[in-house]
Amino acid sequence: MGQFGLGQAITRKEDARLITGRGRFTDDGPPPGCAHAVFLRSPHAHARIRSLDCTRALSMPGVLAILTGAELDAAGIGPLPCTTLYENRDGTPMAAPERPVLARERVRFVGDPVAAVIAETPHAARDAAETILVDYDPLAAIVDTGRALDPEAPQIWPEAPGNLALDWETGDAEAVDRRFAAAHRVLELTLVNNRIVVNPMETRACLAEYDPGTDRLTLTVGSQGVHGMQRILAEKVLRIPREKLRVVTRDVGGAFGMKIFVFPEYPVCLHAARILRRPVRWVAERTESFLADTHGRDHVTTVSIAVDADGRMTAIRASAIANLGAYLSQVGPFIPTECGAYMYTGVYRFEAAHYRVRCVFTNTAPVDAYRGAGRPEAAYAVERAVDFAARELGCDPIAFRRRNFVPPAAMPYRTALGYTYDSGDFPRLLDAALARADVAGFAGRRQAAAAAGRLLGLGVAYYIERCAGGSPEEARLELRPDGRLRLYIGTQNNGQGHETAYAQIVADRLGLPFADIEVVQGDTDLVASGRGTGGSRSIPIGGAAVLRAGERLVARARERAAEMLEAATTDIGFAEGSFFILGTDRRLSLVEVAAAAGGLEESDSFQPEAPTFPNGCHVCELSIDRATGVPRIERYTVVDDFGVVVNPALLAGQVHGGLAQGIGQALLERTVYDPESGQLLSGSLMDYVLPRADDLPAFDFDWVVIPCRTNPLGVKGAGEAGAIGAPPAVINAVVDALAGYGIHHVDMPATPHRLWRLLERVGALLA
Amino acid sequence: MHIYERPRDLETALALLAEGDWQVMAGGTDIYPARVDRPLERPLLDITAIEALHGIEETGEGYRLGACLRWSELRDRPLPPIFDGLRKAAATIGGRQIQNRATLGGNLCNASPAADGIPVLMALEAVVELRSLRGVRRIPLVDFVRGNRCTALAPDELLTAVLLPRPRGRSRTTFLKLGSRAHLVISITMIALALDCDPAGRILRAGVAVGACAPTARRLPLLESRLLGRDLAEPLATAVDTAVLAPLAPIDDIRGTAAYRRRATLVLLRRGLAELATPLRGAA
Repeated sequence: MGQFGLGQAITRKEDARLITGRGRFTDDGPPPGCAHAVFLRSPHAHARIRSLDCTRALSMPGVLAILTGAELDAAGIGPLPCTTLYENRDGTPMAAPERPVLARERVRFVGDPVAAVIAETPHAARDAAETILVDYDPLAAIVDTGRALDPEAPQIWPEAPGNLALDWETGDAEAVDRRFAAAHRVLELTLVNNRIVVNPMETRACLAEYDPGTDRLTLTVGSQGVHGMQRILAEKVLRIPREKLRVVTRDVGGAFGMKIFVFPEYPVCLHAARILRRPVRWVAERTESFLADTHGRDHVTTVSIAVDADGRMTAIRASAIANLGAYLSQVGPFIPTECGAYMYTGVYRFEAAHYRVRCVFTNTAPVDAYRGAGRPEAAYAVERAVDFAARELGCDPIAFRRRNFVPPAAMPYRTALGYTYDSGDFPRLLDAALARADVAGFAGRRQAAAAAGRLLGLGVAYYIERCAGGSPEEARLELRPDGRLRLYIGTQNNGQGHETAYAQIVADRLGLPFADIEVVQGDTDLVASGRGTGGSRSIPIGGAAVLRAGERLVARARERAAEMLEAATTDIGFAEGSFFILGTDRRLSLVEVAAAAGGLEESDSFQPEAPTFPNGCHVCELSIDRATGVPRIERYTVVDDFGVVVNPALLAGQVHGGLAQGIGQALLERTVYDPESGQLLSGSLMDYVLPRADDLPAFDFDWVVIPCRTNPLGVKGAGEAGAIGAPPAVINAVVDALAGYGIHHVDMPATPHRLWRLLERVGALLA
Repeated sequence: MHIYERPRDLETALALLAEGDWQVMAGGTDIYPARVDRPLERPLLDITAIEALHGIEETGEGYRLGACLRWSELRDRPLPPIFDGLRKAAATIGGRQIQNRATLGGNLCNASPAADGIPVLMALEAVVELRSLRGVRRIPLVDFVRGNRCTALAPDELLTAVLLPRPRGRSRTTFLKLGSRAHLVISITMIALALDCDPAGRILRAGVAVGACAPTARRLPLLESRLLGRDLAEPLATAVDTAVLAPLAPIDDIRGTAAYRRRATLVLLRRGLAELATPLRGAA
């Protein structure tokens, strides 16, 4: 391992560029002659469109075109597809109403796009949009997840009676029923996983260009992988051959799952560029980002656990209602079903498990992937329910977890929901986290806090998630005669540091200088294929593909070196970037071989045979001000098992960012739709509370390496971990702080106001 | 048409105001977010180049603070204890970049119910100086702020200074705010206390004001009168009960309920009084 090899905390290659303002994001440097698109959005949560009149708007100065659903229909543009449709429990197909790119006849959430104005300037477009006359006939709206299935709830889609999109299940209901019937105790908890507005620092934006000479469109867009965007936009929406659309992604200022998807603005801008023969650009204002990005989470879940007389958990049953919003987003139904469903056994030895989810439509923004996508919902439900069960049984939650852990000796372990955990040592990580968090000293700290009018609580959560499953990834390496290496790959950096991590893998295995390695991504013309970034798959799958392509490149070069050294291939060794005849000092560098060959090129792909299972223990110590309800995190400790670590600095960055988002969800972020009008009340950064550095403690983060057995690099994936472990750890701490007052559960976000009301209700308020 | 003027002297500014409909701008931190990416409805009169509107001056009657005084100056300058509360408020107005631009006068003229600068000034019985070609008016801040984003400023007038009366003894002031997170947040409630004491610690004058709990910040006269004549070393928290909150009219919104605002206000008032009871530093 060299200075830039695996395991080194190398400073990010991309930082110098990004922090000196040389990053290039989607909206940077629009081409000359660029026109601007502005979208007219529904002010109603649910309404019939009686008429739409653009006459006056079309005559406004600077207006180039106005597009509505009618124009898109005439141009043969199809609806935005949902690519993950399932069958109901009874075998019938789920309700899959089409989502038109621009609303026709009806609008179904506040922010639903109705028309697009393309003009010379954004001001001209905005002015014109304000003069479009839409005659709306407002209808009753339903926004509340828990009430969407009520018989009296307003109905959104004729194809989805009762607002039910999908009723899906997994697991063995009968085996669970048997264990519940035989249980010593059954504990049941209902909890809300609050809706999250993603809020990347860079709002969504796109630039559409058309080349009449080649009849080819180019879309520059912040994505999580250009190929998926290209395939869906070209084949499903624009209905043109894939090669007629190039998709480019430059620097991306945060994505968190949300930027995977095709949104209505993209095909509209492409079509506008095609008819106007001019570049067309759109950038979301922050308010549009709140209204019209896909949101995350929004589940209401009841979890029941059966426990035997020895305090062992035998079965778990979870029943969720998942809000999908007004339309099926691209993979919306996947998130609460296959993406998260199989994680409802956590790190415990349940003999049987069953999970059912009813996915519902509401008059809210569509819901789709957000950092963790289904797995945080599962981890929150399991880790809250296990903590709750322990307390109800009068057990110490830590000891109760330990008693029920899957033991390391049982690895590989097949869970009751069918996953096989390849590796893991849960007791070891738990012990390490408890020691770092000085849990032994907690009682003393609690006493000191009480004397200062604060209730101190200790919360533990042990999460596990599934990463890096499914689709293959391909990497191509191009070693040029001058020694510079280009790596082409179809995953997409959104700020994680891929340029650095991939270069480290190449530098480590090929012995090339770190500085000579360039990562090429985000262009369908340059990169042959890709499944994109999401679900912590880039390094486990993309990294493994890079490793394999590197091995192929070395094998090819070895043959060439053998010829040049006039030796048999089997006598040629390779170390630290040089080939040598075994047992001699005759050597040739890889670069010399490449130069002699006029450059070398190899590619390979990696298809994982199984997903990976990163896991870890979070310990949160939190105090609550008994007079105001203000919570404060006093200590936060995480010990993770991510398998082999490529770069500890990037890893800490991923964990810290995830923790900020997880703590934000647990304590601050509250998405509020008005129950009557369906207006988004928390529609700006003044009303939607994102965490800031001073709301967070200094994180104490460490890791234990238990190599993944199903991945060539031994890595497990780390992109989502913080956001998965933090919500249950924080809420478990809140509940622990209040346990002395008979409080068993607090829903997220545990805002000062919510905690104050609880303290008031139980008579714990201090004057 | 002029769309932007930045006069260097007050007379020019007042003359422009007398003849046209201007949007007066200082730091621009309220104007900009309200109209980002939109054409301006009125031309801008930038008053930040007018020397007379800057600085802090000690006068015979007390202190004169220029309308264009930036919050970061109040936050960072060494100032006597009478400014302690204002300094704390200054540190909570937006983030540091906002504090570097936003001005005292702008915070008052914008007249948000949640303006962080107003309660302390109200507790200090501040007076605002309004000038026009017609002359000068000096009116108490309490009368200047008339409602949610509504002030007594006439269209041709400019707020030129904030005047703080000289304290009647040693002045002790503080400011406390409750929001959904620590900083850069719209207050759920905030309180300001300004107590003038004699050398023995007896309260000669009490100013108490609460923000974000009514269309404007409000003073609490009952609490003020209860504090008069008491000793700072006494347990003053007993003076704080729900009766003193009568002037407030808090609302329910997504940041908190009216009940929470009332209760949290009581807590902050008691904490503020406890803070001021700690030993005095220096004389004002």
